[in-house]
Amino acid sequence: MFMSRSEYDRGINTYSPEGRLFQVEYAIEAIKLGSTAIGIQTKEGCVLAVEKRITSPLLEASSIEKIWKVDEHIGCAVSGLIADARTLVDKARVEALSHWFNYNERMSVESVAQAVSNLAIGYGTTLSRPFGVAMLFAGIDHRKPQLWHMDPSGTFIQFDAKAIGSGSEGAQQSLQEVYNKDLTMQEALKHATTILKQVMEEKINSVNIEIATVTPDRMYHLYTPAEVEEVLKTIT
Amino acid sequence: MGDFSPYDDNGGTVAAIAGQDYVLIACDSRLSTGSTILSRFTPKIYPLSKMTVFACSGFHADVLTLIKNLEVRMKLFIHEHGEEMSTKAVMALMLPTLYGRRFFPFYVRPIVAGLDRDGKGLVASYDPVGTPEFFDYVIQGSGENLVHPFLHNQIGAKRTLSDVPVQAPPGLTLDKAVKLLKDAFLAAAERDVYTGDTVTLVAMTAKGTETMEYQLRRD
Amino acid sequence: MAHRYDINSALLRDLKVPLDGRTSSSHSATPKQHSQGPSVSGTAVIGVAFKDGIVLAADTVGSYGTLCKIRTVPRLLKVNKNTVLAMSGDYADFQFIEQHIGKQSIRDFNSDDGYEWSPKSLHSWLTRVLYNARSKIDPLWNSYVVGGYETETNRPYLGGLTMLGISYTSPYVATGFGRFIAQPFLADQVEKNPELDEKTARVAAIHALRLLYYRNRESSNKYQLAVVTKDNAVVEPVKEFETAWDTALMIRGYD
Repeated sequence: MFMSRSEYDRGINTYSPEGRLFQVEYAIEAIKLGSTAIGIQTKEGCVLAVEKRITSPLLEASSIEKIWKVDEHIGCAVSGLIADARTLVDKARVEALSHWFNYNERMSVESVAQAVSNLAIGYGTTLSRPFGVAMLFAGIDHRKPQLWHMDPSGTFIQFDAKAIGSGSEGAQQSLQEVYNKDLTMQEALKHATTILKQVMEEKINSVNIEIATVTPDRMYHLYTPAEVEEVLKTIT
Repeated sequence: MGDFSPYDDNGGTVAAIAGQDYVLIACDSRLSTGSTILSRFTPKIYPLSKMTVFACSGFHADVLTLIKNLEVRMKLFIHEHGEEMSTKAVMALMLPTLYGRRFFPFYVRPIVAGLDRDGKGLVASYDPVGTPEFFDYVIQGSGENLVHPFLHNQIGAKRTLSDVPVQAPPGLTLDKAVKLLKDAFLAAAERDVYTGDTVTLVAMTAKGTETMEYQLRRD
Repeated sequence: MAHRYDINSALLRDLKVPLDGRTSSSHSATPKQHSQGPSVSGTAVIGVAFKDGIVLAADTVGSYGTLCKIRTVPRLLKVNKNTVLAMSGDYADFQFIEQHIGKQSIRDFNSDDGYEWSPKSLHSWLTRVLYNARSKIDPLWNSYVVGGYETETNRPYLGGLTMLGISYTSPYVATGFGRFIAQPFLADQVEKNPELDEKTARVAAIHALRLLYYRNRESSNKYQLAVVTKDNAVVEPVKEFETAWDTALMIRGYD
């Protein structure tokens, strides 16, 4: 008989006697090693802010991408294995475009999360392990701005504000303290960057973070370093 | 021998008018093949959702298959997205659905009519391979050529010498639209052998749907 | 209208030796031929709905071209106590369908869950079968009338179906030649008397067959009726109806 937990770690689709899937749990643990990402949903739109770890001064910071555009109306921030994230983001983009192709309308944020989740829980067929990423989908559909979180188990849940990655515990606590339903975009941007600053190991600057917003007038917009600079000025 | 054709034309006429706060759609109920009548009791309007109806003349076996496909898509959409497909989405979906059979087409002349999320009337018509066209008023099927000029004159204000102001759709009331389409079908039944028996009119507003039926010529 | 089936050329086609002298080969010189016309076939069938049931009627001839090959062949099929089927067109294709329905009925019976064919479900299923066959350009050469009592709605059900998959419902139906001769008569009967009773419907159905017999050389006066009322379907034994040809003597001018 299997005597210890380690013997149930092997099969990616094998439950332990306590009913756990260790590989999925380990994947969720892997996210906690990733850089911090924060998403906030307001009445006016959504904010995504992520930390980029610049591990060498010789590294070209702009080549690290952690926020992606899924479609005109949806952005996605990730934490964890970025290579895995690319596969899932690709799925999100294909699904959103396919929805547009068939129905000539924007796919809802929830449906995008659902579609990506279907791929994420089907890891056995595409990958020999669960995907090692958590994702924040921020967007605007006909049901107004919304933020959805998905983890490696494929579970997707809607949040007012959510933090993922290494600093997520502290960041989530801070988000809970500052969040209210009537937040403006300016306030949300300020809160997101302030909290990011608190949980980052390096000193925050316009190069080592990424910010994106989704608003009715500009839809998905990834901030340029100059625009990030402007935001950072507000938090001193 | 060797002249088997997988197609037939079962005739029939469908029409629709899009108003500011309503949509009106009409069809006859005759199903023909060659010079004979298969059924006098087969209206060509099919409801798809609370907001959208589908109407179609052409080859009835293809019409039935197409509507079955659409009904499946409508239900799957609700399961996948948690809400009914919007009228605009149904209108968009017709293109890939019909074009998917580009090399063995559904021999159909469909109209999709419904209300958008703000309650405004929308009408789209298609050719058998899915080319969409969006109009304020449209008529398709065997009575099309006979009645189109009447609608152009009375609704579209085209080639009108009359000094009676024509009511284009923004100002066209539902009552007037019902009268016009009823007349259009009476006229079609008068001269088109494939149109007749009954005209069914479905009026849709934000308040709900009303169905009316009137006798047409039966010869 | 479909062409008449030319037996001689069909036989020649079947027997013909390829021109290059090969008598048989795994690779045929011509592509696979699907059926392009009926062989032994039945002519028109009719159906009438009455107040609390339906009547289907058909004569019993199996024609081979203009030859009356089989004089007594059943063209009405009792599916269960709610559902009957009447066929016209190719008899072999009908037997293929008959086998399918029989097998499915046995499977349904063995499931023992109370489910069985209803006229509506049989009509819908047959529509799909004929439509799929036509879509493969390998049609089943039949038209059908499906009738019975729909327990779900508690009403009689009567529907027609063509070989292309065109299906419809109507209080009176006829296939093939019957659309020209029987249907107008039945329409008249039903419209004069929307509350038609069984007896009147039976008389009307037989008379419709009689009208067909007068003008259709493929038909005969040997016929069967099927009557479905709530909880009961009967396909009656073969009978003959009376005919009167005395008026034929008065027809002048077209012979």
